[in-house]
Amino acid sequence: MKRFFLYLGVAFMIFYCLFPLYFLLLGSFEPTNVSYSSPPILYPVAFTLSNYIGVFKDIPLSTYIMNSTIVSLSATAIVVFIGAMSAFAIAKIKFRGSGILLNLLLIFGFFPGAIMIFPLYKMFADLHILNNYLSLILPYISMNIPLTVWVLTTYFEQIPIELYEAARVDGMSRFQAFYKIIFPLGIPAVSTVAILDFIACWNEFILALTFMTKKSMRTITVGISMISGRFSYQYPWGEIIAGALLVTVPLVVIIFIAQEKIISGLTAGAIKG
Amino acid sequence: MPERSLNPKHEKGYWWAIVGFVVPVLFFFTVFQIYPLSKNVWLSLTNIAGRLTLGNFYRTLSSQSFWQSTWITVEFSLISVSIEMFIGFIFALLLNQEFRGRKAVRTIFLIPWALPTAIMATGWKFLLQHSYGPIPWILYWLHFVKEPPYFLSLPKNAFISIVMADVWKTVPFCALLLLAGLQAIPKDLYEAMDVDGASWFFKLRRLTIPLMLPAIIVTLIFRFLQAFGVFDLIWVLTNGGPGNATMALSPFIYQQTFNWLDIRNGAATAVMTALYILAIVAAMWVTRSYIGRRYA
Repeated sequence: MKRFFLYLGVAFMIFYCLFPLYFLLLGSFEPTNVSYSSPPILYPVAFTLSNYIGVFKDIPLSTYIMNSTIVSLSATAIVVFIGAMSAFAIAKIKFRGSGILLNLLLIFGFFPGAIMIFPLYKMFADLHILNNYLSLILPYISMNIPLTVWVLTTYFEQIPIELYEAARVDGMSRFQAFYKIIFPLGIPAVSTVAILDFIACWNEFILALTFMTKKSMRTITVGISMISGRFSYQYPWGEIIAGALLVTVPLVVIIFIAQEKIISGLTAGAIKG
Repeated sequence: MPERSLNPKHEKGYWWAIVGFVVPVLFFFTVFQIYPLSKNVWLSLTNIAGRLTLGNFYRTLSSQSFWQSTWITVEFSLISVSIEMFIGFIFALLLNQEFRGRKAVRTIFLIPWALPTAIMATGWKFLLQHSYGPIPWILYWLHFVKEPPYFLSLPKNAFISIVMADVWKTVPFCALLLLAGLQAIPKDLYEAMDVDGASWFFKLRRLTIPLMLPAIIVTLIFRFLQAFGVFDLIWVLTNGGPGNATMALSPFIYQQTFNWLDIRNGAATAVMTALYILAIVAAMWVTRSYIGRRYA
């Protein structure tokens, strides 16, 4: 009896997570006359790929995907490396004020983008880098600093200090000790944080919406959600949903490959308190 | 090498090393976080001629739309986070049981979390459409409502819509964080209580919840502050409307700044939002250290 209720609960949880995706998949593979029927039909009756073909025709989807990829990969690579450097200094060289730095990073990590967006916009306009990848890469780096430094500091602290000291005694400089010994040992945490940073960049909305005013420079997240955001009537819903599902595919692939890493990264802070 | 060199502080070039390692992070952090926020503080305190004034704050604090936004933000954060914590806790308890396919379920839990909020909101906008969206009709067919409701065009229902979409996306995330807290509780404590014949509810109240408090508080703080800054979801799903019914603080700042080009009042709202967040952080910090003392 207890098992029955347990599996009932599990079934409900799976249903909870997936029911919106079911309706979206359904809508994306339906011809327009079916997806616009009222009341809606909740099971598959007709099949077409025209929405998926249409979304590539109507919006420059491959350009958007390329923009998102370039921006997210660059920002992630840089923030992981410089974040690891700071985390290393905090965890292994140790200095006064590192606690203040960590807490300051944490608080700024909680501030929403909206409260600093205008000064950034003005700065990038003055530098003439609006509609340039830099206008997203630079703030995305800073946006991901808190998480990166926190997770990596926690991890580096667990690496025995003797390894660092041995490297130093053997005549390595601090930087050599960092990138030859500590950084390679930190790869599990580094890759975890890189995945979380990448997802955060890929999903970012407010800055990408504001700094990329030219249509061809949009990221995929903004590109898809703006198809529905700009018209009040006659949404091409089938295509919008098809596009939305396409954006999700790389994320789902990442989840299935790296679920253990993602969960350990997400919960690293929660257990420690 | 002399022994004392093992204390890194006595090594040659210690401070230069620190500077070298921390400078890149400090640079990005200062230029793209501290500077913009300070600039907004400056803008909010000056007029167009660059003179110091409290006029922007006076206008902001005496405007009804600012207080309405504040209220909507507080209401949204409180309601959605309470629901999320409640359902998330139940899901975490379920996930903590032994069952087949548990790992797969945890993977599925990551899907709502990983979806871009803006894309998720786009999807929900379709699901909530009046005439052809499935959700209003399902509610109608299940006899929860007398007729398929208009979700996005009525103020109250639009608010319910953003809460619903937010809850859907973040419950699995809360559940995973809480699950981590649950799994950190040593199993033998439960066994000891079983020997004493404690009931399920007694164990939950006297063992599980107290020992999970750190995880609960971290999840709560994290979610509340995240909900307080909500932008993507509202901008895409309701655009703050109908009217201003779902205009939380972040979208309100955005509207003032980029739609009305009222930069200084936008800056004043932004500074107020930052102050709210600092106040919440301070309150949570005090609460946490209090609870930490009590249960340490």
